Amino acid sequence: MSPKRAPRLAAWMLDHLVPGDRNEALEGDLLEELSSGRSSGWYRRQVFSNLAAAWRRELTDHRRALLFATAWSMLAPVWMALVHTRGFGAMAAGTRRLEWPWSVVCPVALWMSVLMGFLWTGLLLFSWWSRSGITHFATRTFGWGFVRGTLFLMPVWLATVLLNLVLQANFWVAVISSCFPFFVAMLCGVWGVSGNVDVRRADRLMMGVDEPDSARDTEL
Amino acid sequence: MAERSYLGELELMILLSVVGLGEEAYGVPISHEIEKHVGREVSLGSVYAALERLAARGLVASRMGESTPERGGKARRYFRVTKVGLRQMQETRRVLQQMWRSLPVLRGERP
Repeated sequence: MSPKRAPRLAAWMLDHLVPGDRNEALEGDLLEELSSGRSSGWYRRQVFSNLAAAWRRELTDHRRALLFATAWSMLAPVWMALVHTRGFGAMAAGTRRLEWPWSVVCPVALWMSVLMGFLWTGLLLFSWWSRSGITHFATRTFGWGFVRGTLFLMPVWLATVLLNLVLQANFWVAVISSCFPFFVAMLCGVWGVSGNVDVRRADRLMMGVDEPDSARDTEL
Repeated sequence: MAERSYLGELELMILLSVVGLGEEAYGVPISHEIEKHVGREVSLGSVYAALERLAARGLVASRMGESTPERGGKARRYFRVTKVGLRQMQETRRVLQQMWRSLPVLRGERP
């Protein structure tokens, strides 16, 4: 039987938009059905339904990360308000009066430490929370998450601030959008940790292969 | 949170299909088997999602099989029910039968 070509866009979506590892078996099954007479419309329906199921599963598996990132990032405006005391303002003004290049380096470093302090506190809190819920907490994965979150925070924060300036956002939009960079950075940091559950699942899927086959012999 | 121990409707149907198909249990025949009995289309994605859930609970195991040209060179994944899976199926059947027996005769059903 000659292979029938799958609709290009649907095949691309199946290849690139399904989260997690590629499911070659599913891709092959869909092509096999297509070759045996199913329509292109059927193929597209199957791809959409698989995408929806895969993303639902992905979000459910990472609900701990999503919940924490949402809750923690919503506290960002409170953190900023707490930090902006008179003492902090005086310290920031003091750094701006230093000689070049310290007049630029020190205020930026001070501002970054405020942002990073909030993110790192959140990441450490998440690690403590996860250790109580996940039996095999992967410290290395968490370490990489820590680095990823840190690297993502500054660009996303700068992009948000610039966008607010360009769009001349009002005070409340600026306050609400200030949560966004922390949400993104926190999610980047904690996504892998909560995904460890998936890795263990995959391990177990492969571990069962050598077990003696008893399905046909056991009477139901 | 305690791990769910009962089987869902689709999960039970998949386990029954896998046992029935024996050595030939992979995505396509499993979905055909369910469609034949249920009378409507079942998405392969949901079959695989359920199989993954079952594998995560140790109720099924899988091995990669051969690839054919009509599959675009992609290998089949064959599934089989593990001993734990069979025990779980028997337990589910026992509970369901017990519950059905405890019901009075339903309207339209012959005693």
